[in-house]
Amino acid sequence: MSSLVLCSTCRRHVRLGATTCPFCSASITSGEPGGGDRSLATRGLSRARMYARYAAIATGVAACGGSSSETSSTDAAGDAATDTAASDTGAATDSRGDASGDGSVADAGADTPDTVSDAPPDTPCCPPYGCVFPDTACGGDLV
Amino acid sequence: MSDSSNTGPLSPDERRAILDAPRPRRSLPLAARPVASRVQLPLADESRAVDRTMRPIYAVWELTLACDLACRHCGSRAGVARDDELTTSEARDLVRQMAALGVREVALIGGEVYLHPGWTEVVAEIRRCGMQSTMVTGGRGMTPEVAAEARRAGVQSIAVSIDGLEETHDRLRALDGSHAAALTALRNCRAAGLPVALNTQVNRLNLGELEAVADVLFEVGAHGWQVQLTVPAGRAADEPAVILQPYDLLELFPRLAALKERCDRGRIKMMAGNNVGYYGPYEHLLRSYCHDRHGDSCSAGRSGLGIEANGDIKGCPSLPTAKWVGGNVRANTLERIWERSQPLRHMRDRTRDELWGYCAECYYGDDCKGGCTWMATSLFDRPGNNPYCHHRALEMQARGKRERVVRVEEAPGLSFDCARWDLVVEDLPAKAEK
Repeated sequence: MSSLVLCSTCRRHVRLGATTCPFCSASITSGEPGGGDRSLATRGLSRARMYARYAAIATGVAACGGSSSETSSTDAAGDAATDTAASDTGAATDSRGDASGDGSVADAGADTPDTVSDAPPDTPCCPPYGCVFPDTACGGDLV
Repeated sequence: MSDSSNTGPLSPDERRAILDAPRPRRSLPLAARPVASRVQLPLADESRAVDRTMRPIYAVWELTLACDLACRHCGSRAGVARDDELTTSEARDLVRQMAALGVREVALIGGEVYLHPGWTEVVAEIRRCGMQSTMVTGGRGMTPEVAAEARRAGVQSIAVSIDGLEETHDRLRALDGSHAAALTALRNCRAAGLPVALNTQVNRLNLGELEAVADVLFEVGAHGWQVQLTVPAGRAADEPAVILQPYDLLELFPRLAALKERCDRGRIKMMAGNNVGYYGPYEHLLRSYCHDRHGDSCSAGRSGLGIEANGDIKGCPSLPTAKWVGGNVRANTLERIWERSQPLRHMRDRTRDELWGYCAECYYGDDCKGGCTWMATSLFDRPGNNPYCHHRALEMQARGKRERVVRVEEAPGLSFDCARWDLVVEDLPAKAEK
């Protein structure tokens, strides 16, 4: 179970309950966007169920006219549903950050819990060792 | 196309010297004959709740150690098959045991999977049991016919290893033409109707070429890219000049972040391997596919299952055999080994108390627990302290320091063996080394 949330200012993970980010000194308020909120939405879901869920979300986004390959990171900021779908589908909407090496990564995306886990909470992140699986959320016809 | 002139952390002369260096072990066979181990440790009398709750989700299975390449960074020193590899019948039985235990995805690796005489039967059994089937190949023998066989058997994705541009790849793979063969393999798989992905090990020779490897992703229509660090184990331990230094992560991670964004835009799923660590400013981006957008420590024996070709069971396929095999499926059922062997239980039970060195005091210690156990044990013969960490490198940099690993004892030359390394903390140089 994660004990970390994401600092919305510097995008570093900080301890749940911290009031100040130890990396950028920004205040961490309850309801800040980040991993902690997100974990409530997905914690414990099986990989297959997460994929199915994200695929459904992605489908919904597409049905609403969103095209993940065309959406800029700026467009996606603050859109919880798009952010959630994109970050796990390999789509572009969660792209953020810089490559300057200075450690600063700008983002204002907010995640909102949209479901409650119904599975044991300690299922780890599925290990990417070996071959990346072409889950349906990865985007359409792969062949 | 990407600029391929960047030489990464090495100067052009340093890089040339490494490219031209002969193999450290020049006597034959390059692949030592593996010892038939069949580890039989005593199992606990009973399983515990945690052993029954934590189930393997993802299995990585060295189906055979036989290989048609003898890569200079291969952790298992693949080449010659183990004497006691599972028969096809035994392998199919193991597949059924994995399914019963809850495994959902089986990645077949080698050696070369297609050199196992019953590999398509094993794949078919994986699919018949309702699990997802993927495989990894160096691609040398991935002909149109073999690719078609894979497709017919039910393989759902094939990852081909690409470790840089042609010269770098061929040097690492120790075979002229291996890069061209890998590209041909990708095309053959695509022609057979198979989704393809790339796997890349990052080291000092290819760090500057990652952008060019990403070009290949787009050229061949790959759906995924798994990137991991070359771990100083097996043959890679014989070549310390190739291994990244911990401070090289300061250069690597911004590049990975930019590549992740590029892949996201192209709807290619780029996954940072378990040894790409940890909790730096790009963690949420590189691990956006994780529940909480961060890694959560080593998954070996928690959700991960590793299998050696002779049926030895580990929590991760890359962990050193001697200390991390929990049992053999010829002597016990997979379920009993999973639930009752100490090596498989290790990661379920460990606490922060296992951490030492920098990791013992790290802000992220409770969650990270030292990251990749393979990396830590390959360096220091014990888990819990891993200098290959972006957060750690940044903290060192903030103090005007950096860490460097120095090999002090060679590896003996066996599959999944390790050298011994010292960790040196030193002042940052006034100017970047180049």
